[in-house]
Amino acid sequence: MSPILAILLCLFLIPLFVSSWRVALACLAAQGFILAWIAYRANPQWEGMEAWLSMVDHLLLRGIALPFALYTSLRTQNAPYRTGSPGILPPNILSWTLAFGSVLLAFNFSASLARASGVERSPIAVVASGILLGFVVLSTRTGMFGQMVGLIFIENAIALFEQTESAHAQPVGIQAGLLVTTALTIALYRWFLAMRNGTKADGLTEFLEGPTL
Amino acid sequence: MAYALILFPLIGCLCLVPRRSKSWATSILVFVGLLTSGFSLAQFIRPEQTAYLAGYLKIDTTSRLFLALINPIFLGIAVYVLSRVNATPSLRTGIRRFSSLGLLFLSAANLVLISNHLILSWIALEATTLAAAALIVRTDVPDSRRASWRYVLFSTVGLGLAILGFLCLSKAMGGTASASTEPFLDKLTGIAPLASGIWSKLGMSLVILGLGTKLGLAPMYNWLPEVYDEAPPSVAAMLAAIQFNCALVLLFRIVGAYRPSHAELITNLLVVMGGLSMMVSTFNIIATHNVKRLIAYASINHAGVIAIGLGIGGGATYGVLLYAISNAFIKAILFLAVGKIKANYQTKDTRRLPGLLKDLPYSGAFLMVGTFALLGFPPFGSFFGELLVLSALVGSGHMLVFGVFCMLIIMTFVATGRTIFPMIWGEPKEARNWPKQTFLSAAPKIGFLAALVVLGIYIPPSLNALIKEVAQTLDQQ
Repeated sequence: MSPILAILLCLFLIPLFVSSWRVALACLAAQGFILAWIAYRANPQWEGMEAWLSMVDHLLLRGIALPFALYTSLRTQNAPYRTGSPGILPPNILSWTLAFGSVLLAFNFSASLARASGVERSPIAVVASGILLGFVVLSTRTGMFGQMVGLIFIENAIALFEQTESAHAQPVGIQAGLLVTTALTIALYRWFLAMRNGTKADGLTEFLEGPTL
Repeated sequence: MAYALILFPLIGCLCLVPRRSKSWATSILVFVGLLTSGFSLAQFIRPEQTAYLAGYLKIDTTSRLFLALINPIFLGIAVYVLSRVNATPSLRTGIRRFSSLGLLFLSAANLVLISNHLILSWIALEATTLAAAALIVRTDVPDSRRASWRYVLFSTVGLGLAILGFLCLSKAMGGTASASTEPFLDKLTGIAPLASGIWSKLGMSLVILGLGTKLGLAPMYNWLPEVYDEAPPSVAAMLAAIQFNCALVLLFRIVGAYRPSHAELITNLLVVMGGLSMMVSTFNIIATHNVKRLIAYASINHAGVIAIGLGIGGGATYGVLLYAISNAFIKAILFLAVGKIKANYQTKDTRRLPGLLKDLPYSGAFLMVGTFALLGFPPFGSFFGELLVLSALVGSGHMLVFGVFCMLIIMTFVATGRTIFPMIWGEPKEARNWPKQTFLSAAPKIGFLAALVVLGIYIPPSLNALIKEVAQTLDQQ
């Protein structure tokens, strides 16, 4: 496994074991930077608009805009430094076993996939690990921030797969569409996080409801 | 023509940018709905099989059929919104936001159907999700925010799995001569049968699982009841009748292209997911007393029937199309009728709503007819659709699936009847004097009902020919 992929795998794992939302956001930012680096290595001559769009997607949106948007939102809400509510993985043996088990499963799965199709194993292993860890987070967290991090893990793993898989780059129009979708998704995440304070059920919903369209 | 279907809603959306546009927001919504319905029906009557934008957009038989379905339904929903705003002036507060998001949703939905590129279709489907997520939220209702987040969560996972599947399918093509071609849908039929091996199987499974999540199929179905329950009725109708069909069309295209090389995998996956969906929805229908949730669970049930029919293929395909079209109208009628009922009674609890036919006759009658259609009674299209799927199950020798299917639809029938029929025919708890229902608020439901009956009694030859043509493209073996 190349050092860059090993670092990326660590960046998927660290937020699960360090109960700080700042660390989680720092890891998400670093994931974006690494994806940008992988994209740069794939096309070091910066040929065509596609290379620029890919850099905007990975570096600006995933590496900077996304963590910054979530950070400012949590800062505004004075989220506690240590994760009580916006935690990533519950601190117990079961969750940790699930996380490590997922990584092991991903590596086993990638081995069989590599054997059957002759592709390089390690990128597939990291992609599968990212997706499975994302699912572990989604299945163990009920808080919005934790689930958001799980979703971003899955999205970043898919972006890595796209980098390693693509026999040909997407055309500019399609790539621009994907970029806009990512930007809107980030805006939506921030919006949800900003509304987070009022999501507690109070049992009076039907009372509170006014007329609806 | 294709541009008009995408651009007119966007232009309508731009017209809603100025603050003073609040007073004509609903008129713009209805006007754009009228325009796009007109264009889609013109396309239905006089097709032009032209590719636009260097082949990225194309109106084929499948898009013609579904464009002519979703645009008139959107128009009906827009008219319903207009009538609600006229009847309840306090709703004007958020109408500009609602209308602009609704138009964005329509533009993206039309793009899903017109797109001839796999990834572009995916982007458009994601755009409908983003617009719908904002539409579901009512900022003063915490539960709606939770439901909307749940919707985003499941949609992101589902669409993520789908795009991962597309990438795996594209990797499977890596060894073929067509590796450098774009994933254009009209060319996919020619190159997809060349795909084989583990990547192709993995890709197909992920695509079905991902799009199945958008359709509300088990195992990832449990976003749907909460979202349909918490969303405003007009938004629930948009999700159930418009977005559902967009996701379904994308699934149709993939299944149609890959069936020749992956027939067994497609059948097994879709039949298992469909059967499971029918099962969970039946048990939940038995347990619920919330009328919106009941319709939501019925939607999961319908998605299950469609998945089973699509999985079996052959004679079931025509039935699946008829069933899907009928169901779009049924869900639109039911959600709009329930919207009216909830606006009057301020409750969704079926036990607190007895005697609707006496107390609120029009809405009660729509609920009654919609429920009969929902349960697959003749003379509605859903009856014939279900019958064709059942006969295809027998014809293809899937007797176990047939048995389970029959048992589940009987259980659904009993459970739904037990909950809904007292609402319709019971005695009202107290005499109330509701404001008279205007023609404007009943018009969309009357239109949908007429379409539903036409589908069951007499399908016009042009529509019949189009459905057959679409069924053929889905069934090429």
